[in-house]
Amino acid sequence: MYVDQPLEEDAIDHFDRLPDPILVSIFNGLQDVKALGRCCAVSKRFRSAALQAESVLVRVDCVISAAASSSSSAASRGVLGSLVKLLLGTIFVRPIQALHQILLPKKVVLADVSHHSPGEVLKNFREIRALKIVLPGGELGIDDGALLKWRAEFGSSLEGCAILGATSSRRFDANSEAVVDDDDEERRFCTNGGLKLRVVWTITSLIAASTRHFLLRQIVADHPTLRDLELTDADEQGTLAMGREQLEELRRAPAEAASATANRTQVPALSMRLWYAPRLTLPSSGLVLEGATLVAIRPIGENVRRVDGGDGFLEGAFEGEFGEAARVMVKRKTYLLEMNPF
Amino acid sequence: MASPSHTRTVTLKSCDDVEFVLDGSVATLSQTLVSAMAEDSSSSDDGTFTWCVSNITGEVLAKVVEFCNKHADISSSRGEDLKEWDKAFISVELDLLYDLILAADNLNIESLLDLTAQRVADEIKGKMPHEIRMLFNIEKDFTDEEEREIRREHAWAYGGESLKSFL
Repeated sequence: MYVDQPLEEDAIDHFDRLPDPILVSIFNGLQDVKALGRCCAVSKRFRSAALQAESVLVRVDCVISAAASSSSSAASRGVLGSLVKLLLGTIFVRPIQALHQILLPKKVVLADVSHHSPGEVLKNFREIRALKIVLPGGELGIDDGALLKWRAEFGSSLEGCAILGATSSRRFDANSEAVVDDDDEERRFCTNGGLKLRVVWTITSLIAASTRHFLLRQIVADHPTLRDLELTDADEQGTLAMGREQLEELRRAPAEAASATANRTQVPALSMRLWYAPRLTLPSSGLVLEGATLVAIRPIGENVRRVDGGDGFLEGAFEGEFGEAARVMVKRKTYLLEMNPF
Repeated sequence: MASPSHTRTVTLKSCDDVEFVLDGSVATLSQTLVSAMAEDSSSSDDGTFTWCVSNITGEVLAKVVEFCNKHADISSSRGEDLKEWDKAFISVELDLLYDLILAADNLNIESLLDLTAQRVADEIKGKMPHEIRMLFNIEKDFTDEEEREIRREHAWAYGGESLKSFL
């Protein structure tokens, strides 16, 4: 509505009246890095203030599967055979063919345009405190109707991860709800492949998380002002979060914490707590989860109390109805598992 | 220690001599008033405090007072309702918007600064540099060559260029 107005000779540049700190707070409200980039071409003052933005959001348009070479997928497959040591004793997870496909990033056809990595786009922004990067979608291919969400916190390596999954998720329908024999379903969980599937979810989520973490190293090193970093995806499948102390720890850590062969950060030995419900109905949100599973993961040697979710990590890991699901799940029976580094 | 501001009323006076009487608790939204009242507390015992706001007209100050009254009223300051109210409140012409920003800055009212700054940010979002200049009457102080160079450097900010990431 304003664009069509002609530029009047005696018109005032209103921004002249606004002090610099206000200009910066306006650009902090802008967030989107593309909008900030366009502001740089408006005027010298705009350019200088836009580049001082402290809060920046980068939406990645497409993901290039350069790392999906034969070496990395073979490495991830090999990992499965050796890393899982289940305390339950009866189950062994073998390499699962499907995992290979799950791990391969979705193929992207590249149009004939230039491409720019987040690191390159951010290089002129020197004051960033809060950075959020959003990938176009979650890496893990899951069945229609299934649910898989993870939230991982990293310093120089994995500090904690919460995973919420379900074989199907739908809205409650009072007319067609059948009664499920919970106890029977739960007894079969360990023997009918249910637990095995959960271990696969866990490993694929951890591989996705540690791959994302590996990608962030350069950005973290390039932006010493950064205090809050989040790498998430448009599907809201996975969120990797790093706070101020965690970022500082990563900057101090030697680079060999990353396993160069797999293009991801090494996952340490882990202890896991797993909660399972054959069917979880959430009265307040009307969400029904079949085969609902919650997994809390901490590196072995960390304060064990934290694995219980006693520090609020589990409660805060998921938002809205999924947070409610997690709070209900932790009241159920717990399965304990351990995992070797991979 | 209880803040003296809660027990007093505050009279705000605009540069064109329009006066507004605020409850002390409403005035605490303004850090400028809080500091001024704290400094002044020894000298006044009649429970009133007068503050002249230079550079802010009665029209603009009326909006600021409206905002503070709404946001200090705890019974109405809840979630979605307040968001809707803010949205309607900030739907003003750009001239008034700048005046509100300056008033929020002058009186140091954080929530009003955030709201006004976000409104300007929303105007900028999705516009090209020349559209932003036109909207805000900003003079281009780059040479054409400089502008081309800056646009080349930030080519990813314009249509047709993608942000990519390796995974």
